[in-house]
Amino acid sequence: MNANEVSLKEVELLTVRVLDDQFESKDMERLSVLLESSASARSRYTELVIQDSLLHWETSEVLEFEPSETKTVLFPKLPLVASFAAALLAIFGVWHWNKAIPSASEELATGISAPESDKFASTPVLPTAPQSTPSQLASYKSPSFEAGLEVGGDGPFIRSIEARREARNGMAILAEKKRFSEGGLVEFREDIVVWNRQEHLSVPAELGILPLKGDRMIKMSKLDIDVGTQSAEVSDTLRVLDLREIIRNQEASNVRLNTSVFFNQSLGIVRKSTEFSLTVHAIKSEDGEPNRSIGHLETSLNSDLDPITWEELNSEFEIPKGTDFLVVALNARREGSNALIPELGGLYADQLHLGLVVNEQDAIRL
Amino acid sequence: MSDDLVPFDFSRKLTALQRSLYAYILTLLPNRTDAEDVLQETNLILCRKATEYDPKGHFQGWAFQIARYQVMAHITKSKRSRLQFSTEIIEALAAEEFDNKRMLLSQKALQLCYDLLPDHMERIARLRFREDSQLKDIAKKVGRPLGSISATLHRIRINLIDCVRRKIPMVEAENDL
Repeated sequence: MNANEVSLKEVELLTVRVLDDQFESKDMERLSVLLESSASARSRYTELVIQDSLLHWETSEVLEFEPSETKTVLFPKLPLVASFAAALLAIFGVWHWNKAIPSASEELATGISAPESDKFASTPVLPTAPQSTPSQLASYKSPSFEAGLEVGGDGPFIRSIEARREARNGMAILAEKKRFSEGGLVEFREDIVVWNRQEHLSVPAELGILPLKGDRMIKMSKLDIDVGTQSAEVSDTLRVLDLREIIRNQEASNVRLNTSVFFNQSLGIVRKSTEFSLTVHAIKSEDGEPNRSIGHLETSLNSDLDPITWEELNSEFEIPKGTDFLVVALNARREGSNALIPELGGLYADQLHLGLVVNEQDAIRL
Repeated sequence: MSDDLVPFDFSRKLTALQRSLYAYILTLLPNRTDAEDVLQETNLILCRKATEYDPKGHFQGWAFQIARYQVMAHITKSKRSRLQFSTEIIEALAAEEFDNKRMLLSQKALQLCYDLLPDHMERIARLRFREDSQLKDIAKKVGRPLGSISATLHRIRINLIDCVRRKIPMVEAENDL
């Protein structure tokens, strides 16, 4: 190994120590000497640092840290994205507060079945950002496979690692017939066992939002921002239903899930509507195979900007034959440059009601 | 504050450059927290100067120049930081050619190479790069000494760099097809 190779090895070693915060002052001094003396040292150093920046910069386009059978879509680390978002906020915040929301200038597709969907006004802080085209969304549209759960389709639930992890966790709890676990409650409703996370996410009145009924409501998790697609979204798994017993015992030939939920949002920095949605995934579970979705439904609406009013979303889902579990998730999404601004307000849901109708006769309230 | 809108083309270029801009800043200021601060300051200035930008100009060069000034300003403000290079070294590093196209190819190659990591390395890489765990926390989680984790991360990085170098021609060829 010649002198140049030795010094490159030393550059590697010292750079890695710096990147992992395992260095001392003398390491930094020695690295400085090497970088000053040699172009190849600088090149090697730069190569390592750039690679580290790529490894830390998670984007939906490129880097996936799940095992190769897990093609999930990741969102950028919030601190990095927030720095860009904060820049936009600083520049456009005052302008934005002073401008009235113009009449609708964009339509936004709102999902598979959206009876309450509505055009909503967009306020282009920047000249109209294009909607994501099918090619841009290509990376989102391929089915997401995860060890233990395969789901197809599109939407925040598909893209949310956390929501799918919660769903897997719920199914595992139900499959193992656990009576309790962290993060939710196991409930028994006739022949149906339910993993219910609602209490885990519930809050009292806050930020000017009063619960629709009672003294608590669901608060959704913080939006994850994606700079690349200029969007922010979140998905929270609320319930996992174990249907295996009821379908077996009642020889159910026709099972339907009716849902009803209300959404609201508090005032935030950005006065912009949010697209709320409810998704239901029918999951089939087979021994030795990953759980997989055999059907799903997403219904959505766009909220108004009045924190006093709650918007209602209803849906009906014909449950496919062979369904073992149902996963019910609540989602929220924003698009456009305003989506890059960190949300300081809150997104809420209340009065989530699920009703299972079996053979058009028995109705079970969940 | 000006009511002028930032041109959409500008915001698109700035958004697309974020990854490269961050990587560039990190090479000059190899502390992620400091680099993030400087990135934020740089973005603010770039947005403020959006109307001054000539669309026919070289956007990356202009943005990188502003980033370099911000790095210098940051160093001047925080002279006590132990994680800083001298002005001469920063100028030398800043003069290194930053090939954006190669960086994008590296990114794609990195994805392929990351998938090839053995399981025990992938676990540590995930804890460090995805979950941003400190080395001592990783050592606790995997039940190995700190020195061992440090050495493994070193090997991971070198393996990835060597793999990326081998994969880039293939990725480039695929891009050209």
